[in-house]
Amino acid sequence: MDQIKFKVNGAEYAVGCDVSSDVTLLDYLRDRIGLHGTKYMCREGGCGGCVVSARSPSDAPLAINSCMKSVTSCHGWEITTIEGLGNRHKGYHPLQKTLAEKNGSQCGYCSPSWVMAMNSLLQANSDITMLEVEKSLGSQTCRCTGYRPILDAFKSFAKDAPRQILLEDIEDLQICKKNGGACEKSDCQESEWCFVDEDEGKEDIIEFKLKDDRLWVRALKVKDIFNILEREGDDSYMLVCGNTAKGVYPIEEYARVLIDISGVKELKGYTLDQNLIVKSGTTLTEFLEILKTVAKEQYFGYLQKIYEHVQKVAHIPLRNVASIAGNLMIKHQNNWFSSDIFLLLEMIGAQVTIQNRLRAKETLTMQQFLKANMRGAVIWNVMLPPLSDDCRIFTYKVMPRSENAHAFVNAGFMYKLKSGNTVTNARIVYGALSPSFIRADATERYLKGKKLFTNKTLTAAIKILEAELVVEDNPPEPSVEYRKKVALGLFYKGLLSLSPETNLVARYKSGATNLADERPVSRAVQVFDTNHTVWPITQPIQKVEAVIQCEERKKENTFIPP
Amino acid sequence: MEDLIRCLKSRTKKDSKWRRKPYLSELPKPPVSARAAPQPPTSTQSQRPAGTREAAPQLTKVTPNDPTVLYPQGSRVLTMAFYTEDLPHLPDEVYCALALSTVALGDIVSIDASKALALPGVIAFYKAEDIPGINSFTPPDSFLYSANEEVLASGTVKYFNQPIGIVVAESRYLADKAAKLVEATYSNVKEPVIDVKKTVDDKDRTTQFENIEATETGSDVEKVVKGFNTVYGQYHYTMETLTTVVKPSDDGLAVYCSTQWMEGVQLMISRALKLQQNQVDVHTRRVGGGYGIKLSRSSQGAIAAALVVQKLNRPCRFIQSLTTNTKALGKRLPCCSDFEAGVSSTGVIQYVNYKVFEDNGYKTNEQFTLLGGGQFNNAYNRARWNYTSFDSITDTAKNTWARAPGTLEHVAMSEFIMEQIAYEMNLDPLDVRMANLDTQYSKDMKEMIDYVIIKSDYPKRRKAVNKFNTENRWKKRGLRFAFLRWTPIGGVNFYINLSVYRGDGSVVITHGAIEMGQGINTKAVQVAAYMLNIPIEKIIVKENNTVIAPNCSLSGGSIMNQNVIVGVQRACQQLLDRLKPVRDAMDNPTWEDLITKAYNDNVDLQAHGFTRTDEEYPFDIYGVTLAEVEVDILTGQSQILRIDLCEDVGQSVSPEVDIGQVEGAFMMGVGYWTCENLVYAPTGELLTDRSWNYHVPLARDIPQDWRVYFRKNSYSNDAVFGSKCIGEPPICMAVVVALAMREAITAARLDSGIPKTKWYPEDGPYTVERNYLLSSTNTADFKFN
Repeated sequence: MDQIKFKVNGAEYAVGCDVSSDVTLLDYLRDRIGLHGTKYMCREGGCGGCVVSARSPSDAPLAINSCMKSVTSCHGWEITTIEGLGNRHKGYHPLQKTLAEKNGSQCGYCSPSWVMAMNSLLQANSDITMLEVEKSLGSQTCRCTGYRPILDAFKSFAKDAPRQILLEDIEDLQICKKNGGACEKSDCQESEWCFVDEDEGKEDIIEFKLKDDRLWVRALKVKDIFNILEREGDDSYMLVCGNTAKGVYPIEEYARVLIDISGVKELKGYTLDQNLIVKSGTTLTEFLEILKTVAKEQYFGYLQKIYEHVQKVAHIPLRNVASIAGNLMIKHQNNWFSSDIFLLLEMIGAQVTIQNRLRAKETLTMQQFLKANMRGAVIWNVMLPPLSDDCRIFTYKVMPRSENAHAFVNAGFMYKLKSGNTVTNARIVYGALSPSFIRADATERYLKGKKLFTNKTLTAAIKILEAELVVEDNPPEPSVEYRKKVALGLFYKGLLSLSPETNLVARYKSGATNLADERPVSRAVQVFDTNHTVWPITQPIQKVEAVIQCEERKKENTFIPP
Repeated sequence: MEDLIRCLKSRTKKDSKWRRKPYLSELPKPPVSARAAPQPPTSTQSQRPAGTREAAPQLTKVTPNDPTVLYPQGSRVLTMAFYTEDLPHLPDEVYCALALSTVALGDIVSIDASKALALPGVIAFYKAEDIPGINSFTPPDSFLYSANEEVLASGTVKYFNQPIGIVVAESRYLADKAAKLVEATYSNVKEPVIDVKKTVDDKDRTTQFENIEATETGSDVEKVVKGFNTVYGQYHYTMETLTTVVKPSDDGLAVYCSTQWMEGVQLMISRALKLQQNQVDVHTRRVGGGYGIKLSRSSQGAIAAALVVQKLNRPCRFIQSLTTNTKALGKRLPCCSDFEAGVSSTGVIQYVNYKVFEDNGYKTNEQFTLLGGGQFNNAYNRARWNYTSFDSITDTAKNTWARAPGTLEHVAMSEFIMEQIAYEMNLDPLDVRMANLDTQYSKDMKEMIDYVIIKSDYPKRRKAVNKFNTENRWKKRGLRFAFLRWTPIGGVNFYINLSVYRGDGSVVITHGAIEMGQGINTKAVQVAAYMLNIPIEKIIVKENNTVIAPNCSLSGGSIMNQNVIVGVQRACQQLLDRLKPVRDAMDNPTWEDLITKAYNDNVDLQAHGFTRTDEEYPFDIYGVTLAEVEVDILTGQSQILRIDLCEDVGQSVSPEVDIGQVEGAFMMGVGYWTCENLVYAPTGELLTDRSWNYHVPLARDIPQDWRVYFRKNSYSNDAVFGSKCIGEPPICMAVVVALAMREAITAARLDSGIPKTKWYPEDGPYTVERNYLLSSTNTADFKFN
């Protein structure tokens, strides 16, 4: 019987028919191998309590939400948990020590996940600024500390920290280059930790029945997917990549056939011909890298704006596993989903390539895709067009807080202008207003041929837009009144942002910006007395259990209370 | 600049030395002798010399390299950070989940669990009739309680998603899934009343709790200001949801429960299952966040799990899902207030007639309203306040303790009154507050207000904000103060045990209070180390359970800190008294030698401390906070630009721990006043039930510039080493963010032609939605030039 294999803190594990479809990596870590350092709360990728470091065969370690990932989709992964990072036997990791020392751990329940999120960040890029540190921890929730001491602890690892804790400190600890944890072995053999790569060349499809009678198939090629669907039927199946959709719409019951497509190399990466063709299995993190790279190419400078917006999608651990196709399929299945990816692609007039197993590949517009019958079909790629420099783009995501939230309303505006700022083409896209309202067609039509940055055009356009917006009630999302009004506000905001500054009255200029984007690195001061004559009373010491809260116990030391 | 850096560096150096060798070199080594009294300064002014730390935190500490020096509690690492759900799976373990009602009000006709039971792996289903004893998880014979609350609804359902049954299955997923398949039929189904505002004029839903009459009335009434304000609930959002593991034990049940009140769990399990109390042992090592939800609500799930164990004789694990926690359990109390104030031309209140309605949910039981009786006037002139409080009933889950219950609402309402007076009469809100200070508090408050004004550079920033608002149409700022006077009430029972091991003189303490992040164990260790004059490394606080700490009160309210300090002190004193004759016969012995000798002399090396419910250490806590915020008028989004928060914490026993309490509480309050918005359907169902739609603040929501000051030279009482309560007061000051938001919104409204003097109600948090709508922007104003 087939199994999938992965490593946790250097030790090899295999699973197959012994697990059910609902067993996540988190469940496996805690319940099967007794690593209780990884905590959890929401089980939907929202709270960050379950974050671990994971390394797929080709990449640097990444933070992932272990509550989202099916354990059977971890083939070839190397997982590092807090237990693998550092402990009292091998020495604490500087992140653990610093978090405890700076009192970044109160009840301690979230502490291991903060350490793992930060560890993954440093493993991927140790050349990081304090501001980048602050911007990269939106995946994590702490209800006790108010975040300040956690940020202080982790910012001390940034290159611009007043007293940077250098990475040498980490290397002193003999960090395993493979899993990013403290090295557990003195006789580490190259071959021992290279098993994944060795297997790579001679990989086969892995297929097994799960304990709850579902079929799990790890596909390697798109044709494998079609073959499986041919054989098993397409009445109840799911293509599994990051499995993050369940964070949006909880999955009560898994399909009968589960096809893991995360190993399908045909669906990874990008090519650049006339269009930028991004394969559909590309994760959002990989997508960001692609956007950054290709933005340097002629006619693709606009990708910088897309890049900035995609950084607002969920948070890093989720983006590390969520794929473009996965995101689009949530939108396909539930049109209410305020997909930022769909919004951005629609704004630039991107297209999507799909293939049904019985038919040839088809290229669809984003809106055609929403209506397409996707049963038995696979998304191959999305195609982002080149845009000339006279295309001006503004996008916005209104969130209930600074980061890590779905859009209350999101919007993308693309105006193609000719001399005199006259509009030759406009694409105005909104999300979260109603399941069907996507484009402001009437406003787009009106704007054609108009000078964009005049009060007259603006006033008239607002009227048309207000009339054509279709906003439906969708509790607990904000009211129809708000979403309609903020949609108008965003239209105006976009024009303020794109208008030549000389065209603007001074009082209006600051309307163009986004407060969260402008937020600087935070700073804090605490002032208190301490009276040496009565120490340790009044002595500023760290919490007595802070270290063990940032550590966790090893499985061999399992503590069984009386 | 270089000087500054040098100065900070030198301070850092010094600081690190303190941390490294507190017992060896920096301090004169005292003889090993009893410190009979805590040696508080006799004059709070003179004896607070060295050690004031004032620097950006990232500059003040270094990372020492030697871990044994760095971690004074190095030995503590030998234990493990254990939370209830970390108890390894037990053979034959089952899981349970609660089946919830799908109407808010109705009589239960029948409950059909056949679909749930038909799933392979589902083992059993229990309902109210299956509980052999009392169907209640709250003890009406306990302090602050007055009624029984049903574990499972029997007969009638009082709110949407009330637990009606327990599903038992072989896995957690299965239990959760099966619970949703339980179907019930109801008769007499009625529309629920969800909003506390709707209870105000309904005599059937309100009961007067308390009336405190004014003792004086002024006659200089220039204007009568009338207002009606409402605030709503808040979900606690503990990172560890309610969790219980129960297994059969030799004598009855061993219960591992994530609770802030072990005795409550033990007592109510014993009553529900008709066991003797001594047959139920409850263990709690620590909890992953409490904030009040684990005071009494934990007992409900614990009883459910215990019932399963009694029925099946198999261990049972009950981890409540986030959605069960949010939907089935009560939250922070919504509250509304109705007031009329006669005010002089300078804003001095001549009289206030003030009514407040606390939303208890479907039942009054826990005495929240009692806590408001000492708090309603905040720092303002109590004599002129006519106060009447009411308990309201709505058809929602019974609300429960949530960090500063009763007091948070009252502080907020009093601050709203000050603001409304200032707006309507076009006065400076700081002047209005100053003019209304109660003489009892004014000396302390003024000292702190002056301090914050200087530290925050207030006059200059006031002008800058005014200028900003004139010069910007679509971004607005607000700069506002909030004041706080907070007075704790009551005491709690704790049983403190302190044992010394004769082999090496190491010490263990159990104190009966629950460590939930607030640092109670740290303070206990500090106090014992001081009293016994031994290094803190010698002392460990061990797990709590109902065997070593019976009858302990709930670990709620900030007051528990004080009681543990007192109780540990008492236990230490008892031990020291026994050791004295031994020590006197020796020549300045080391601690270890002293203990060896005492052991050989048959001295009892286990000591005990007890704290009473009727011992109080009266003091007032003061606070002054200034907030500056910026609001994007085109979206409603906001940022907190700066917070200057000064709190009087007395002489902080553990400053780092207390700073953590202040910052954490404040941010929980920021969430309450900004992004945490509970939305109910007309059916009474809570729609914001998970992380996807209930939004707590994250790292980039904290103040961009955040300055916390502890009041200098403050000292409360020798018995508690001069300290004051810490956990709850700071959250009461977070209303300052709402007030600053209001100023920004008011500035935007002014640009839309609405005068500043027109007060507008804002019920609930200043969400992006509310900020936008209240700004009353007219799209006709959307222009380039």
